[in-house]
Amino acid sequence: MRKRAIVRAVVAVAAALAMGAPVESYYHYTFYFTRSAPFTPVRARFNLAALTSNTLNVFVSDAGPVNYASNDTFGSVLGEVKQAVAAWNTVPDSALQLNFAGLESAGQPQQNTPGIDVVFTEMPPGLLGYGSPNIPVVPLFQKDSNGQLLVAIARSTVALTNDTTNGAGPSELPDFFTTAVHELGHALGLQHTWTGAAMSQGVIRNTTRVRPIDADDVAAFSLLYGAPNWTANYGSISGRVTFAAGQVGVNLASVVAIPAAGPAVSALTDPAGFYNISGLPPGTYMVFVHPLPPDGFTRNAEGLWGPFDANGFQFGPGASFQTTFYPGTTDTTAATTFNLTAGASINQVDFNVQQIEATVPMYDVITRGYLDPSIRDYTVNVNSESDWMSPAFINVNQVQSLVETIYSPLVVPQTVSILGFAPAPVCTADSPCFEVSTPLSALFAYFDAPANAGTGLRHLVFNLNNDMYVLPAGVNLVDKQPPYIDSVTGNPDGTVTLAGTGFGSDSTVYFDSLPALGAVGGTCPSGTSAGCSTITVAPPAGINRQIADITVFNGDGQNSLFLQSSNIPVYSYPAIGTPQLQTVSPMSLPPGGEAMVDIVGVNTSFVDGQVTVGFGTSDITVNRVWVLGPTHLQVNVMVASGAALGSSEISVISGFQVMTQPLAFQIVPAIPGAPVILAVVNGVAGQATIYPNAVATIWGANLANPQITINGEMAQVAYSSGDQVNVAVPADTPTGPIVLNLATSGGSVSLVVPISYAPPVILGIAEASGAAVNATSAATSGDQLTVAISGLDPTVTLASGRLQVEVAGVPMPVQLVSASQIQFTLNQSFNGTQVPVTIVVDGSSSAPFPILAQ
Amino acid sequence: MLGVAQLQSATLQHLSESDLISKSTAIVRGTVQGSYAAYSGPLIFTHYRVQVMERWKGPAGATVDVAVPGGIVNGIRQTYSGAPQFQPGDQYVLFLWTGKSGMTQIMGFSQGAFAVAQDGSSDPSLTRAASHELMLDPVTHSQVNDQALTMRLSALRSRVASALGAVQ
Repeated sequence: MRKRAIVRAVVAVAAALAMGAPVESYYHYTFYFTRSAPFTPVRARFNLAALTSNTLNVFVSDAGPVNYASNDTFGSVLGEVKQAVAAWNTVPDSALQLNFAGLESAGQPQQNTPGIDVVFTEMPPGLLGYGSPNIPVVPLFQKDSNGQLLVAIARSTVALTNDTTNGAGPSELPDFFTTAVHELGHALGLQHTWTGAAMSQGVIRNTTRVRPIDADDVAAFSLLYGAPNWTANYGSISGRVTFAAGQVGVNLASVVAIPAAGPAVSALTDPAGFYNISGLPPGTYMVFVHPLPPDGFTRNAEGLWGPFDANGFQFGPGASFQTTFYPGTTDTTAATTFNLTAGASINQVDFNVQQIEATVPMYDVITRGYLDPSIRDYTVNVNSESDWMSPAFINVNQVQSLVETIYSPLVVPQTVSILGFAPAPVCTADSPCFEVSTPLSALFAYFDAPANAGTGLRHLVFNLNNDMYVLPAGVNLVDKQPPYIDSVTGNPDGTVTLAGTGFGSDSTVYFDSLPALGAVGGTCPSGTSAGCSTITVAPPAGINRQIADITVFNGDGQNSLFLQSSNIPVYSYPAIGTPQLQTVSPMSLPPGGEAMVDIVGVNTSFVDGQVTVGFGTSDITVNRVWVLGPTHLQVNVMVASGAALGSSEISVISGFQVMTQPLAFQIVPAIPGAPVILAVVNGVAGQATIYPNAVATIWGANLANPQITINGEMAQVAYSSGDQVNVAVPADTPTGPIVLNLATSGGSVSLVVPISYAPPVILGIAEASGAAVNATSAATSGDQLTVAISGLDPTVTLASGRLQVEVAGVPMPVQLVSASQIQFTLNQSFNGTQVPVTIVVDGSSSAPFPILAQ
Repeated sequence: MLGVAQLQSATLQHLSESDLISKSTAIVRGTVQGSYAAYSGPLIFTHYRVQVMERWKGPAGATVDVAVPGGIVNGIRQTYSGAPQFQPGDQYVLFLWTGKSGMTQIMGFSQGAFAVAQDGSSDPSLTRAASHELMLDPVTHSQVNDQALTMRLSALRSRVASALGAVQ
């Protein structure tokens, strides 16, 4: 009976979608309803409706690696995973929040909320890691809360080696990090791309610690988890790929939107040949189509998984064809360029491609650049002393640069170009610079960077006579040498100073896997935009006598390992006591509702922004952590209403310090009648913060007739019912995190509530001349106005992005924010009407000040 | 029914022939007889029962249980590409590695599986396709390409024997 109902729903949904849904076919785990057009993709992904606060918890097994490389630690391993999780959180306009949720016991019993498990497992030599979503064998099509179809991922697993003496380890090396990012991408529902990005397969993965995901990853992720309006900030290009001999669509052709400089974004065609590349940042693009390489789709081994129809039958790729740019040229200078603005769509970018019988002539190309250690810069004179990195880098300030390309099978291109550069002269088989010493081909190409070449990702174009191969992000242009660390010196104040070359304001210093505090963006002295020779940073919280590898990563993708991979400088932490948890209170909570947990440690170094608290099950989500001191935390947690009862592990991770209490926390049956808090908000709709003298509204259950204390002070309850309480926040409540306790005859519950400054008060508004502007004295469009204020949160002046000036709800450009005044430009006419001016800080608005606006 | 396909979702480290021989705990030529899938923690492994025809390295035994990540258990599928997939009757030379857990796996996913051509020859050819998973150099940790290998069974047998003899 239930099964029949599901089938009916699926048919109805399919019929509705067939009428007009856009065709998009990225590299996801994709299903189609039917084997005939139109094809509507249904992708495997996590259902946000099944999560708490749209938050997906990522846990790491507390059974960490068995063997550690020299100087490697569990804290460093966890740091890599934490940052890999954070990388996917940088996707803008995402509805999904990823949360590094600390440790879980290897034998953790049932968890009812979806999540991702990272485990360390025994891997044979040659294997570093793998990841997969758990997908039902028979797809069950569901709708999410927005009415979008999906095949729900209940859980995903990422496996990493439990021996960091082998393979990608030690964990502080960037391979461990990029592997974790890549495998997490699979766990989230992404397959591979042939466009250089974190999810690349067999081609360059041109991502680093400082750029862990790229535009192609963002587009693919957004299609799964974008907020409802995410497409407003991007453009899209769509069309169809058919064989020239007819109107037969090409399945699984890769269509790539590529700018002259910067990252490319691609999509795959559906079985009818239609494609839609969405998620394109505004800019100018060319578009080309290429076939999947032979390893891109094989039925029983490597390659794309699926797509499948609803009955489980796979769609195979179309025949191979010649790569071509739109409108059907292999000459990039003749390719059409499309100017794409945010929210715009360019359609009918169609390709008629020429089928080829032979295999794809060139694919899976990687590039190398070479460094001369004696000059710490790139070189064209390769010898046994040279260091190499992949992908290749070019210093545009050098006269000539070398890019080695390595690929299989053997084919000799007619020309090799960097898109937008003059082609490099190609060495031939009888030239000394072309090697055919192995079955792999190595081709050395020498480029002269044009004037004003700029920096950033560039793309390689191989002309293969009647065919071509394009390698997106094959080369990275930079304008300085890679960083090199000459010395690492500890200072009496606990900071650490690095001396070396190639440092800049874009340098980030890493201690093992974690970035140093204050290292991002500007530790070089002011006025040294060309670089500096020393950087001073504060190390992350370490463990007793930890020896940390020190590396420097620049924003341009270069890092100190280019020249120092075999001789990494280290820093020795001082002796400290063993950090451990002293008290956790409470140690049990019922399903449903939000509550505070207070944590006190010993020998800990809790630092705001570096602390992770986890409760070992995806049924508990940590909403926020407040660091009250080096040994004191307060945490708000949400227990899912459908949480499985039982014990789980408490973990606190601060820097490299890892503290756990296995199976110490319990989800216990709810006490009938006990109060449950679901949310505490400002009682005035639209005010995003809670502040002294505001009325806070508490939503929940069993709340009637409560006694409430705020920061220990009895608060006046203005209204109460079973599911709502309105309470006045005492005027003397300090700003910052405070504890709210609500007690009824059924029990009590505590929660941390962040108290903000009240919005500022507008005292008056004046023109630049000093003339007052008010309800009777008008301002004119274009006027620069000064708002006199009082009561502004002093920290806002250091982060003016937290403040907006709105006129009749319309944001105005702000020029100056100080404690007593704000300057803005009235950039819009209001036709002589009276309109309110408000100051909005952190989402809470001041009282309106009416002005007459021409 | 859905076919069992593989996802390309692994990160590999390049293994040389010397690595395959020296780091493996067993090298066998055998025929796949059957398989089953089971959980090991949160991971699904497909266990292949391989009838041993020749053993070039490692402890004796008529069969060996070779575990490959991925498979289907209770209607849930985990798939990890690069993991070789065997059919009953297939014949392979396998470079195997048994860890402390006692589970025997193939070296470097497909890097340690050489398909034996079943052409009736007394000295059949062996092939190992190039892996196209992301593969890293063990020393520089930069990306490298794998390459396909083809050779006669006798040639590989001889090279393994020679290498092991040199070690001994």
